[in-house]
Amino acid sequence: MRPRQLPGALTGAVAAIACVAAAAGCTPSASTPPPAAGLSGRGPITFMTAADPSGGTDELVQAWNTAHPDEKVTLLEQSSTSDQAHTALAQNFQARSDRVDVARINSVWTPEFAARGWIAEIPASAVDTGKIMPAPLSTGRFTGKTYAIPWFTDAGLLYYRTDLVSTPPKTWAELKQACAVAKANNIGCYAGQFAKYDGLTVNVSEAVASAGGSVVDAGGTKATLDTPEALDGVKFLVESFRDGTIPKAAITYQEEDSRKAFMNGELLFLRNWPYVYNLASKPGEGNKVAGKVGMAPLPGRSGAGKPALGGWNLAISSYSKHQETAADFVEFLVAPQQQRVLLTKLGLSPVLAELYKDAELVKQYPYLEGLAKALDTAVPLPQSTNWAGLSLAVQESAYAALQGSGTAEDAVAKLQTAVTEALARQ
Amino acid sequence: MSGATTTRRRLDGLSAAGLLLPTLLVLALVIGYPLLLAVNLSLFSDPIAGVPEFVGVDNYARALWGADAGRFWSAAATTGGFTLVVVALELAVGLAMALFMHQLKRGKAFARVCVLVPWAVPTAVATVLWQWMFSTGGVVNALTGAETLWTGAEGPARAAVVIIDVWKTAPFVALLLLAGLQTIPGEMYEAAKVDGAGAWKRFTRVTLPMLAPATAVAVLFRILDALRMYDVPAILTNGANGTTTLSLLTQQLAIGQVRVGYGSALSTLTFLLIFLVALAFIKATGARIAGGRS
Amino acid sequence: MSRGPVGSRRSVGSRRSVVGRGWRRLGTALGLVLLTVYSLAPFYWMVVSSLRGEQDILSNAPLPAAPTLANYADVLGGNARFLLALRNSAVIASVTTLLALVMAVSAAYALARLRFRGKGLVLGAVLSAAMFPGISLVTPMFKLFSDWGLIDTYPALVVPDLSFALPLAVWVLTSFFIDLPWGLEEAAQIDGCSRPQAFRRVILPIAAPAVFTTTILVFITVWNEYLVASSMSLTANASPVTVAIARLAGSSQFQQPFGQQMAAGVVVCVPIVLVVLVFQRRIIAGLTAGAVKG
Repeated sequence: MRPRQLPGALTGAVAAIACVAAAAGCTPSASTPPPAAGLSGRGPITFMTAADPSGGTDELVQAWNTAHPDEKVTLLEQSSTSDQAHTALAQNFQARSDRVDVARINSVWTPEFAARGWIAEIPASAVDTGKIMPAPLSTGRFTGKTYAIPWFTDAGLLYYRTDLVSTPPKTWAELKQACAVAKANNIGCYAGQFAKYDGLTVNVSEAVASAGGSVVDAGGTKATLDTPEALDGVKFLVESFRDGTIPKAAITYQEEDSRKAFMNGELLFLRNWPYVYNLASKPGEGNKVAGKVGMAPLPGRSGAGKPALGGWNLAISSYSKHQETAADFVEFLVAPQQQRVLLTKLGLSPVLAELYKDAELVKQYPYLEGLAKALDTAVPLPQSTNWAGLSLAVQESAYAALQGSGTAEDAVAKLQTAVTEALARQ
Repeated sequence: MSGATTTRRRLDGLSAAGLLLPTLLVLALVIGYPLLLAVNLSLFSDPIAGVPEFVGVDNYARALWGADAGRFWSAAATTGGFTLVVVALELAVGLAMALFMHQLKRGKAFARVCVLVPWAVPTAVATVLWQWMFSTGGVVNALTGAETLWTGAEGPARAAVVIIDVWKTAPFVALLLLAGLQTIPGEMYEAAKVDGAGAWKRFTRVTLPMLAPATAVAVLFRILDALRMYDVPAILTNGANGTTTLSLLTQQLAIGQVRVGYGSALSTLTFLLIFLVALAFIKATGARIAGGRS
Repeated sequence: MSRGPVGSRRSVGSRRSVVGRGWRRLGTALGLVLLTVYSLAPFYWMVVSSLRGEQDILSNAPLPAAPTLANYADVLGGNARFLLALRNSAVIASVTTLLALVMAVSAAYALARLRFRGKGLVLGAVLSAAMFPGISLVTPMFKLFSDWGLIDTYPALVVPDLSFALPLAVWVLTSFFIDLPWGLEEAAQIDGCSRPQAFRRVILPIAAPAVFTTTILVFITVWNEYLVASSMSLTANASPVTVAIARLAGSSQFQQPFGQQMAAGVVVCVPIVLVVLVFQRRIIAGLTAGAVKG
């Protein structure tokens, strides 16, 4: 070959080498669970969780490290965005890396991670779950076994303007009646989170549950949106957009946008998470409703509503080499003293029932009472091994309907088809 | 003399090979390997547990004419539309900025820094900033006095994506074109002036043609980037209201659901589409970049 | 308003020259104002938002009523996590840029100067590297580096970044190198210099503006990179600023740490502005060197 042709040939050769290398390394690996039965191994571990500006997480880890100098915990950083955190964990597990031992996972990911064999089953002997509230606990179970322990929880609440409404509505009908007050004051009546993201799925599931229906069945294998209850739930949202109960702008709302609108005095009622309470009660430059905010359980179709259960759990990696230590650390994090730090330092809602009855804590954090009541009636989000696909299906079908295309019946039919398809793919 | 020339020519090939080897090796590792791995994986299924099975072109069929065909082609059209608009605007704005900065006598440093700020701000921060500004109760609506649902309706959402991307990346084009302007020798303008050409004629007969290679590279790379747009629509609208690009679709249908095979197929298809577009562009502009010139 | 190159406007007659200068000054002033507004208006909102406390963050007023440095304290204080991120970004961007430039200058020299077959193929291969969607690049890279035990170290961040840094650098440099006065190199060789010497002493100084422009382009592109970095870095030891910003958390779960994100954005701009100020002087210095030559 002549020297002048060398570079071209070189490119070809390099490409060929890459080809062979790729072919050699790449029959796709199986995702069957590793054969370990029970948790084993002790030693230093890592804990992947979101950053925490309050320093509370560091405090908890310090407390553990002082007590267990041979089994220290190192913190790994997790993105504060749910999707990105999911991708990071998926990558880690797909590579079968032992780098992550304990992971903070979204409560809706438990079925998926368990089915893929990424997280280990946690037997009752490893972590004592006796004191944990039942609703959050159920989000850690898959096919009857426990794969994740709830770390902190959340439930949807109704915020209302105490200066305009004296008693909060208990049903959707009452809510709509109260809208006359909103109209008289020239503000919007009700808003939740309706932008095209996971929050929309939460709001839709909540509405369906509050009407007595459900998005999927208990096993997470069948879509159950073809019931009259589901139709009522979806109808509430679709018609509220249509008749102005929900302002048009709410189609762009995520949690912060809706909080902004409420604190700007533009809404009479707001569906949001407990974190809003402290922020709305404190005076500030952008806050027009300080001192006029009340909290109540969500209204439902014919009685109290069923708020969606949020929250994050703790899971142990199947590929971890020190699973026993990991289990002990998880138990440590859900113990009463550490859960107290969770509340006071990190501002997160604990999963232990006893803390909600602690008089001192309730005095310090008045929203705990309302939250405890909500947690009693809360319903976990649809449990499916394909939460991402399910959420996308709900988002796409519901968003268009809320924007005004088609009736509630059309929306429900579309939802049923889309969710069935999402469930079928896994 | 001819003996020396032939020897030099023979050395040319060997030297070129040596000079190009590091680049090619690195690219083989970081692109060649994942690309070929992706092609391989795209031929397998994605069971949630168990061994992936060979399914041939099923994944491709699903995207191109199967269950996801509507979304795939819609995303392709959206991506194409965004690319056209965004690159055209960036070229216009970038050229204007470059020309302006080139003829500045004083304040050059200030202008250069000014221009680079939008580009230097990390994309995530810039998008979050604009998202906040574009929110229904945000600054943009406060300034215009309107109640536009920027992220809530198709027209405004697409406009918002374009505005953010152009604002952020026009500086890249401006910088490249400015460098190109600075390499145009002054003699060419002198010669044109001697020939009696006015300012506009000098612009069209000297500036634009001499700027062609830099423009071509700038536009080419901006096209490649725009076709892979992900951050802005993902953060701003999550793909709602006609802003789903191919990369975002791949994330939603495959990566978020941990479907490695399907995701690889979608990525390969995206790669092929981009390849075809780049090929068309190079053919259309005559590949002046590498062809050398008189 | 004409935008001819520097020094092209030579008006005849004193009256016309005064009017011409007046228009010119107005044009320049207007241009500077437009440029400033374009670049800095959103940046202004970023700064204002960064000075607002958590309680006031929802306000749309042009100036913060109770400005506070709390966000900066959060971002810069607290075990200096963000300063670490800045260090990481600086190292990763510098190393990647350096490697990319060394390899690209060699490759561009070969492509622009030497004669061999397969130029188109090489350029095409290099360009194809810039076509692959980033999200699908990451998982195979993660597995590779995970197997090598290199996750959360600098190599894991630098090497994949070359996947987009190299093609950009090679193409930009090639397009500029083609137009260099190679006759000078040959003249130097006739005078007795070896080829590398001729390149270093004669060509490189003239190519300096292009090289420095490419440096800035690559540096900022790598600085802005998020996808690869977010997968490859797990702790503050290796996370660059883009990742550190994404990992900022609000005081409670759903609360967006907007004030801190904006403070982080402002903090990140400062080193970039400094780098650009340093390098852009070099560009002008390179220009004058070139002017003397030719």
